[in-house]
Amino acid sequence: MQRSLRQILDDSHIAAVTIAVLLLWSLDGAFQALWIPVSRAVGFLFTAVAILDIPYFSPTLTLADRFMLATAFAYLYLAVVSFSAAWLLSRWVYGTGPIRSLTRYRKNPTGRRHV
Amino acid sequence: MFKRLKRALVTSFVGAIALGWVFAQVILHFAYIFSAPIAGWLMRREYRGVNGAGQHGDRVLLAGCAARIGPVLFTSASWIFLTALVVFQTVGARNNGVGFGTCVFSCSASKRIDLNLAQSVRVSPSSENYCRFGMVHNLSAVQHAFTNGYFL
Repeated sequence: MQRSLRQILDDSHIAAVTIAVLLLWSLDGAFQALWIPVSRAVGFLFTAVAILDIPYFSPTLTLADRFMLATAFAYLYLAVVSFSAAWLLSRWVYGTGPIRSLTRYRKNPTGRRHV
Repeated sequence: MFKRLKRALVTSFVGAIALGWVFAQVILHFAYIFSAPIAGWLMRREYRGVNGAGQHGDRVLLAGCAARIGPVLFTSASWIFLTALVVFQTVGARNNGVGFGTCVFSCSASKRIDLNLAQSVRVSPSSENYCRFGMVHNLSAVQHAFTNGYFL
């Protein structure tokens, strides 16, 4: 009996694992993208508190700033692409969103008695 | 030996996890094809004047794009091969929650079959020839058995 790729991905649980992995990468990418500017802002604040003054900052974007922005955008791109792929895959295979499609595995047993 | 390994991969979900991860890699590598020219252009822009990168701009962009096609082809080919090896040979049977569309039976011991996770149904003795060593050998016969209510 021929079955479609969608059915095979559903029955084999490959789609669920892929969605979970893509969601994890999306979270990781979003965290990394936010971490770079947030850490810099926190450093700026700590320096301001330590010296009780406004720390020096360049009024224009330096080379390091541009690299930082490019890295942050790369992580943001990873997050957006991963989440979009997870959402599209979930809609295609399960017909629902990624979170809702994964909740159906919440009650699955971790092991099986009959191997 | 190989069948036992394949069965262990299926029942332990290790195969599904590995294939899911590889499939996610395929998707991400495919997305990188479209971001590679932009990343290359940004890098060239930043390093302009340092290494004379502006001279062969288009070729560098195309090379960056083409360099991303290789991993996509390799990972997708690996995924298709592994999926065909583990999944496609066993599709056709009803999914019983174990994964990969295989019916994992224990009919030789307790005449019971796991169906849809927690639901267990008794297997009639006549269905013994449909399953052997936990793997389905005659899929159409199993489907016929399901349709006609042999699994009671």
